[in-house]
Amino acid sequence: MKRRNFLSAVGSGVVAASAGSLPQGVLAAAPAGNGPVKLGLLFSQSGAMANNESLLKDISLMTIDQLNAKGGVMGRKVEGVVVDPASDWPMYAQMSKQLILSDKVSALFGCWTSVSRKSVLPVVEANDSLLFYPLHFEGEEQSKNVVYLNSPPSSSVLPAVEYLMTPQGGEAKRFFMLGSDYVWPRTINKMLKGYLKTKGVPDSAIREQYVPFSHSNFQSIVREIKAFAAQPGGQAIVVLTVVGDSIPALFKEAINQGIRATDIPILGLDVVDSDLEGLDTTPLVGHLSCWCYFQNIDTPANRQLKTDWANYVKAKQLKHRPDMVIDPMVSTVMGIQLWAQAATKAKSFEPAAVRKAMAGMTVVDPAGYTARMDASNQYLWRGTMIGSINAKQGFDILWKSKDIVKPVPYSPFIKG
Amino acid sequence: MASVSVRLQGHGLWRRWLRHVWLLSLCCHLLPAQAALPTDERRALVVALCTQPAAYRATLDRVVQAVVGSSAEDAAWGQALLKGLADVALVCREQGGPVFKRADGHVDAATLQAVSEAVDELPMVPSLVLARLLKTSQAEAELFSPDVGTRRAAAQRISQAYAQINEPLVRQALAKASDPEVVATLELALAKRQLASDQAPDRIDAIRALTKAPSEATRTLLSNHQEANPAMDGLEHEALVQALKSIDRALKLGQIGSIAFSGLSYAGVLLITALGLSIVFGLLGVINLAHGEFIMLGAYATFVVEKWLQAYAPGWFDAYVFLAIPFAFVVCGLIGIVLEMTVIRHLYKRPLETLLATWAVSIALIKLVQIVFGSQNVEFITPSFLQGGVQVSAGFFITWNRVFAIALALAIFGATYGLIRHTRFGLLIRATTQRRDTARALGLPAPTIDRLAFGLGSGLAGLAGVVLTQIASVNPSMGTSFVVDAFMVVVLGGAGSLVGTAVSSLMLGEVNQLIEPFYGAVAAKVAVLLLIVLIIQRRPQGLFALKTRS
Repeated sequence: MKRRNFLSAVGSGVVAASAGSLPQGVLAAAPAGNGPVKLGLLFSQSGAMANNESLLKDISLMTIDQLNAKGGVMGRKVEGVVVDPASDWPMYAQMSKQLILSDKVSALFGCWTSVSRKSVLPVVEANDSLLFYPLHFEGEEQSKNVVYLNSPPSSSVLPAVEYLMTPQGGEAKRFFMLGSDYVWPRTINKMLKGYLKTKGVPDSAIREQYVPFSHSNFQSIVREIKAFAAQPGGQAIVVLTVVGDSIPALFKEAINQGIRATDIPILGLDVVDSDLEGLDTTPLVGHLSCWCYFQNIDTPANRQLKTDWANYVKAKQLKHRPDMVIDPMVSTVMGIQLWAQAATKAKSFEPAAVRKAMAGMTVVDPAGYTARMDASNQYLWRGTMIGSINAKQGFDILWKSKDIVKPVPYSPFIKG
Repeated sequence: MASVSVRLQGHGLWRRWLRHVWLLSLCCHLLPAQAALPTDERRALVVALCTQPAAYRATLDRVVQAVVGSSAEDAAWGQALLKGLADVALVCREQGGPVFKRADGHVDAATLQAVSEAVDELPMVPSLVLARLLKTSQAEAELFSPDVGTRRAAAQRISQAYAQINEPLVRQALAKASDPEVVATLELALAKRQLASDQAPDRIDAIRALTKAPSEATRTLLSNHQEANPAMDGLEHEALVQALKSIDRALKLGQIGSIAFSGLSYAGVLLITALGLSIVFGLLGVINLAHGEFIMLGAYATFVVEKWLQAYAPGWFDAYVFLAIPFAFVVCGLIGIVLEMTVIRHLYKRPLETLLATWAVSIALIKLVQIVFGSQNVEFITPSFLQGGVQVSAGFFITWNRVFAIALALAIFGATYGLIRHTRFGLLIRATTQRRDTARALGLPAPTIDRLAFGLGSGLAGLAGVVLTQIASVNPSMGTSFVVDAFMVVVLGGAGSLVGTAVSSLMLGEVNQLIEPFYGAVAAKVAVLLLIVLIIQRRPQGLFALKTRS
């Protein structure tokens, strides 16, 4: 016993010495030869979010492999440390703490839902680490410890809704907002209501409904949507912010009750190709989604990424569809590339140095833009597009912005 | 834009001349005879669809004319154009004329001849406006289809999009229509348009016609009409008020019907998920937290059957749901028996350990399925007979998958009830669970009966999985959301009572669906949970109590 205590005391002393007392300069001066540099991958592989988050985990590992094939970052191999927070929000905080403190990761890539990000936020702030967050979300947040790789709603959702209110977009006049009951849908809808008010849409033309997580019985809600759409006041659309399993459940019910995009278009803000897996999308053709990337974009960078992913899925015998790449996956890849570029520029893996090097940095966006990190906040400037569901379980691009759009973290349409 | 319209006019002259030739050659044709459209004119129409949103309606009208006209060649071209637009295959090019993208290359949009040069532009995605008009145009063309089902569906669309239709064409279709359903639907569509007539008697006729087809849409139409014409004469006003009253009554009935139906269908899902647990927990007293995972396994068993049929007997594909019923039951039943032999039987009368052990089993099963099938949702192609639904009456729409769930839940409940109450095996289960020592003293093999009963419960959970493939999404973690509901139902109904399980699922289903339309899904869930708390406080043993060995 004594012996073991002694050894562990020595052991922890060594760890403490290497972590605490080794100055950053040493790492920076001699980047090679210190073993691999670690990145924490905080994506659920079980629970309600597993479907989507496991894609991000695997494409992260692929990008890390690619970095290593090119000799790593500053001569050091990169290693992805995978954990499974099991779609359990407090678990994200716990596991991020473990990744930072015991695995000593240089940066974290992770989270899908806002509630999981909010759960990790205090941890990365307390330890001055960096979380690269690949999802579009409700905005209203700005932390120096989070890198927001996707668009806040003012540069993604509002342009999409604005388009749907034009004659070309079908002149939407009435809005049925249906969301899962948590911060992202509620904030988006609050913002949207503020925005619609400035457009002269009366309160009576807006209906708001929330369902619990993993809600799958949408009979009465779909019936209500149909009734709402048939009422006077003009064309109705559904702004859908339900997440996870609820998305295919809602679509199934909508198909069965005969809702078609030509009658009531559904703008699914969290709908990606993977949600359409397992659905016959012929009756869903024309429903909409808005993201910074859809895989049908035809650019050399995107073709390369899609080929890489298909090969990786086959080589590793993953259960994912080899022919499906979605926006958060691309954002994750861009995030890892951004991190590698910034670390190389800073000649350091320290979060503070990486953060400083990242400001104003550009990175290739497979969607055909050159994305740029904002110089003052940590939001990435991205392009934005509206996709329309096609019969092949994917999206065609209905509309896209000419260039990257300035991200507005705090929406003027939310008061208080 | 200007240049296109000039070209259109130019070819108008050309076409008129051709039409004369055509008329001469086919002097006794019924439809307004049309010559084959010249290539340039076809191209001009396609270019207009590419570049002139304002002219969509007019352009599509001419395309539909081509489809229903007398020239077979034009009809083929028009159909190719409508289909190409709908399938997102039309490529509008900056240089060169528009082309269709086909699986094996590109064809010219006007001549349908293959084009040799490489086309790297992406096809045009129809805007929502174009998609709506396109759907109506397709319906107009389909009114002349030889298939009566297609004509009925087309008539429905015409009635729905009455404001956009090409009225002369629809009247033409109506004159030729023989199917009473098509006739009625088209007449309704025309009545909707007639509401805007400037003749009061016409409007009154229209109102009467609309009264006979009550729906939310006709109600909106009539109330809009009322608002737009505050100074209508007495007769019309009376007809309108009568109409609104009668439609409101129909809609109210429809609403009651649909709330009752969705309650019933939710109850069906609850019943089927809880039935297996009612045996395992209710009769055997095993707190089986892996119950949800047996449901999940049943769903995956269905998936295996589906894939197998798809590969080896595609002709029988639609029957996979029925084939999956015995398969899922046997698979889950066997896994249940194995679980009982290896884990549960060592833990009888130790509820806490059972709870922990079955929880571990549940996690293990989730991970196992994740390894084998992956964590994504698995694909179920709904059999054609379960797709869609039927409008029973105004505001009351039922979907076949829910009807299927209710029917199957009732059938399985009936079978289980019969098995437990009226067979020797059921008698043995009841004897063992209610008076275990007496039963053993009489020589009953209690351990074997426990095992079979556990297998039965697991098999029933597997059947729930089969039903849920048609309703919920299927992935390894789907079970967790059902296990809580299942326990609620069984505890409320009273452990050990099958009738209690049925009554409590019906109650919870109806209460939930009664509240949801008015206060939302979250409130409905809260209300149901509070209700359970209240009832359990009054009756801790549940609604239908039964004495068991515990």
